[in-house]
Amino acid sequence: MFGEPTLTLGQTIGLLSPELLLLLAGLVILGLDAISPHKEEKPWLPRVALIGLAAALVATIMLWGYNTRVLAVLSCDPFALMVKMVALVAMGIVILASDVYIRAHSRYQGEFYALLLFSTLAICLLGGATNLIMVYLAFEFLSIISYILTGYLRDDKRSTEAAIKYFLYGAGVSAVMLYGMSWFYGLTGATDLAGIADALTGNLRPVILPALVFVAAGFAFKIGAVPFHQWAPDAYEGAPTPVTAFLSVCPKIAGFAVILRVLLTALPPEGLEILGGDWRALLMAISAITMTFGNLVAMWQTNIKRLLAYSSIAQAGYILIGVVSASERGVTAVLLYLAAYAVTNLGAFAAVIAFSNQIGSDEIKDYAGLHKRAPGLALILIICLLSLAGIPPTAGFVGKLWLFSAALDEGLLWLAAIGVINSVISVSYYWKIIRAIYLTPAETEERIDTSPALAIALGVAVTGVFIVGIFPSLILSLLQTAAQIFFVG
Amino acid sequence: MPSRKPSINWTEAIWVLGMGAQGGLMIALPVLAGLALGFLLDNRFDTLPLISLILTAIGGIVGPIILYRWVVSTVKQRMESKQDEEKPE
Repeated sequence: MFGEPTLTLGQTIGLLSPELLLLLAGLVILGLDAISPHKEEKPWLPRVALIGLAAALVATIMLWGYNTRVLAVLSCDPFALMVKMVALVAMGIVILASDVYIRAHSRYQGEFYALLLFSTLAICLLGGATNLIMVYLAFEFLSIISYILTGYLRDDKRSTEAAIKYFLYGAGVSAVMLYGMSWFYGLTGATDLAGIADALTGNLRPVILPALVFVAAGFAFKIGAVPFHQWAPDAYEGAPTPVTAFLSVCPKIAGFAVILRVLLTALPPEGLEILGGDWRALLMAISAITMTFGNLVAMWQTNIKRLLAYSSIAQAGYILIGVVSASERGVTAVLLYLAAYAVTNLGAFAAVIAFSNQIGSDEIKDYAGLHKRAPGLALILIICLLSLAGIPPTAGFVGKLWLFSAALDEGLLWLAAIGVINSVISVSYYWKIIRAIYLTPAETEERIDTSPALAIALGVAVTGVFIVGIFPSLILSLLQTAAQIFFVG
Repeated sequence: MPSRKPSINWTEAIWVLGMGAQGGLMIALPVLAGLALGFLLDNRFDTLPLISLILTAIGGIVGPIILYRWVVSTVKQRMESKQDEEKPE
């Protein structure tokens, strides 16, 4: 698929410039934080983080059009660049939404923003990883940062407990995924994804099957798919709310990028029909169970963070529909839905953070009468919930349309039908929040103010929801270019 | 602020390694057991790969459930023991 170019040091640095800029920005934040004379108030920290993200985004855009290998374990191609762009924009919204919350709850603000930037670096590496060792290292890099961020409020027992649970569960799954990767290496003598594809044959099916299950376990854990979803509700509820926003989106972007690259490169359905059929069958079952389970359990939740946790489990099930389609349209649909999901879910969480900053509650009943206390906030939250449910003209609708049509193109009518039924089911629990906001009378008339940074986060998110929903053609050609790399040649 | 010499708590490090290995086994063993048993039954009844696939899938579902239950009980025990340590005598 790729040539093996000999790159000069300058070219290598250029191709890795988004990652290097993120690393530099993270280190600058740590350094400035350490020498800053002001111990409590550091409003410039998120600004420095945003400058780092913006610089990395510009570097990523400037690399558009490249399709080459870097350091033998990474690829700088349109797919990797698209994943980086989505991750960078998503992290920008997370940082904007974190400002007030982190200043109010933690003394260690510099470390928080540096960790967010390093986690973006890990996602960028995962987007371009073409070698199982690189995949594992970047996965662990992202996981360890996620564990630390989940337990960031050290004095909060729930945050600590959630972090320990997440860490122990993640350690077990990580061990199993590494075991599965070692099977692949043992059977093929390669850790490079293209090398694995060259060495695999259908005769290896009985021994590849457990390896596939073990590696899929790691991926399913990262995207929060059933049956590796149990960590998600506890971690989402216990983590600081900006971290919950991060957990609900960023590991999913990384997880789906890796799933697509590993499965479509190492086990391509066109070259390895039997093995390709095996992983598609496995993921079809996981997709159907994940969306159904997530939606059914979400219906019983009374805490908005737990509800959004189960909603995000269901969303992972929808996105898997695009993966199992294993076609150019399917990959385009996954990327489109990831972009739509990122702006939508982060918009919803930004609204939850704005509410939580002032009221200090995540219970749905406390959202009663929100439309009178904060009309703009209520409207944005509802737009995001409608987008998550897949109601037009929002980004969620266009994303689901593409996912389901990709499944239909591949003859997966039953899976698309389960997706549609689940979308209808999901309306019931999003309606529960909308009912509280608009139809339940408020107990108090106290207004809820939103900080300027949060207002920008909400504005960016809702703009993204409508741009992707009404003008998807603006990004579709870029997404199609990104998806083509798995199907050309 | 008093300076503290950073030190590695080897007991904690080994505990964590042990937990990771134990957790990994909890997922891997049911899958491998399902596959092995399925393979035996498939050979006996000439149904390859049907029973192998079904039992491997069941192993894949049972493993994470066992792991989660174990994680919850371990964390509960650990939080309780930490609380006991912090209680004034």
